[in-house]
Amino acid sequence: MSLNFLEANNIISVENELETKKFILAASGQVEKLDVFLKANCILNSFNCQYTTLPFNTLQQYISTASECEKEHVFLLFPWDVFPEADWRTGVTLGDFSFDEAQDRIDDLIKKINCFTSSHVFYIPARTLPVTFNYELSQQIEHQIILSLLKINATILAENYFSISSYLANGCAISSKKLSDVSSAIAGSLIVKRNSSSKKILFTDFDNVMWRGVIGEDGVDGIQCDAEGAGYTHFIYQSYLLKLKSQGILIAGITKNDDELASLPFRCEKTLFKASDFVTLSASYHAKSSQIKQILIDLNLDVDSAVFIDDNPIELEEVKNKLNDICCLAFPTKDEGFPDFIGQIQRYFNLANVTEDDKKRTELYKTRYKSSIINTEQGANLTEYLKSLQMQLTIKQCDATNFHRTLQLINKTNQFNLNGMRLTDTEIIELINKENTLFLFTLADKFGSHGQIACVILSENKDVEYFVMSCRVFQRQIEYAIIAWLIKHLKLPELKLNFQRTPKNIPFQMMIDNDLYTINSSSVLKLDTTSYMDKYKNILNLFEVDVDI
Amino acid sequence: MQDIEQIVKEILSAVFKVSSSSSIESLSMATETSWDSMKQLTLITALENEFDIFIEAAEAANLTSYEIIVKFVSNHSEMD
Repeated sequence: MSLNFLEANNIISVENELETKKFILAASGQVEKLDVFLKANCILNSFNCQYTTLPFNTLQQYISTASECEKEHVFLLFPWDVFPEADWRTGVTLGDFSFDEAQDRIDDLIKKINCFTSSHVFYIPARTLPVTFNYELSQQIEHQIILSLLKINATILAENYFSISSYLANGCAISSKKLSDVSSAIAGSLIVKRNSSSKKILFTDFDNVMWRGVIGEDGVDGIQCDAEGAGYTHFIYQSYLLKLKSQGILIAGITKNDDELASLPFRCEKTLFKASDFVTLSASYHAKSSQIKQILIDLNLDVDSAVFIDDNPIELEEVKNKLNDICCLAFPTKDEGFPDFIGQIQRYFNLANVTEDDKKRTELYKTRYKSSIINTEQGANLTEYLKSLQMQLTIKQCDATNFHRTLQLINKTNQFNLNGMRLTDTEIIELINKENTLFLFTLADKFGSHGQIACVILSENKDVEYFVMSCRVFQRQIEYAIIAWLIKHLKLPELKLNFQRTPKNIPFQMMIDNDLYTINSSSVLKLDTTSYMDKYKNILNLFEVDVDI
Repeated sequence: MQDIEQIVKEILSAVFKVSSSSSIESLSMATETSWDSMKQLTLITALENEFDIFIEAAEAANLTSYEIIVKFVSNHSEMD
């Protein structure tokens, strides 16, 4: 992910408890400028980094002596690390060499790098000074460097990552605009141990991963995963899952939805990846870490053989927190991050070969796999993580001029919905005119705005008639905060809610499934506000609450 | 111009760990004891990255206060 300086600085300013990876960053030039970006990109990949660098212009000496070769190294190379004659800082030198002599130099460098048992090699094919008498020969040598480095699994970065201005001015050959891109490549490489065996199973979320959109809100006609438009990257992702499956990798679907809704896009032939391509599909409102754990137990696979992909940082944090050895990847929110994302997946599923048996692995596991019980084990405690998100909850009272988003939420939301009741424009205006109160809730966090995500309508008697929340913001404890705020605002000993069970409002049913709530003989749901505030007294501390009433 | 001032303030706040607006506006190498060569390097990196400009070594050495930095960035932005 490409970060600017302030974004990177914000990321590294937040305390975390991630594990720390240590390595030596070996480059001939100045690399201190990478520091903020490297640390931030490592955190985005769920680890902290601690690294040492070499004194300026000592790389050749360092790799020749091959000291500390058992430690993890990141080599950041330029053409002049092979041919010092190509270095802009020394000016053009006299002397010349043939292609064979050039190849000897390249082989010598590679032999020295191979002495380092755990190394990640990056190469920026910067333009160089003329090193031979012949332009075409110089070009051939430049290409030969790349081909030779590719044989040792080096990552070839883009030529435009090089900045001659910066290199001549202060010895840092990397353009200031590309510091984050270089850091992102390094961080991505460090999360996969070199020569580690391929992972075996990929768990994929559905909404905004398999397709653009949320099936519960947008419906099957509103989600996009075609080879055009907004769904294009999701189409490509599905096509890659098909390829992985054909290579023997198991693909499991894991989604917070009811079964019928989750499988709807597949039944409607909307997707390239079919329901039958999954080894299993888990649709449940329980913690994803619990579902993943259960599936791994049922398939007799280890946690460290799994990769989990989701677009929601909260879900990723929850799973990583509970299942330390799983590898988690965020589905990119911007298309520019997509190539790196696919590259990351490829590193995790790095196969030496594919056999005929591999190709049948999904079917083989499906015959062995018995339908799993739903694992209701509690998910990870995310309080500290949620605090680090710096969430801002804005509460606005709506009137007859600005109720439209409230109406949309009530009519589109099925899952976190108090009673499933819908309203028309006319009906909502009538409610407003009869002194019902509409509250609209907007959420933002350090990553940006999530828009208007929940609404509540109170009757004249201050009973909760409508309460809906977008499923995009599940797991953030917002529903509990909204109730806590209502209790403080209304100052009532008891809150009544017009609850009705529907086939789809399971998340709401789960929220009220405890002793705080009671249903009387007239099916009115009541909440003991004192007990609620005892239990959730700190919930509003997770948010900066801004009230516009 | 207001955007430039705001971003420069955020950069200085990040580099020198100063939060109040008035402290940032009066920040200078002459008075800020933590303003060393490493901080200067980080500052220049941040300015180049955030504003997509290149700062020559000679120019970098002169960027020693909030006011000078804002003026410099504004001039470069206009020239671009």
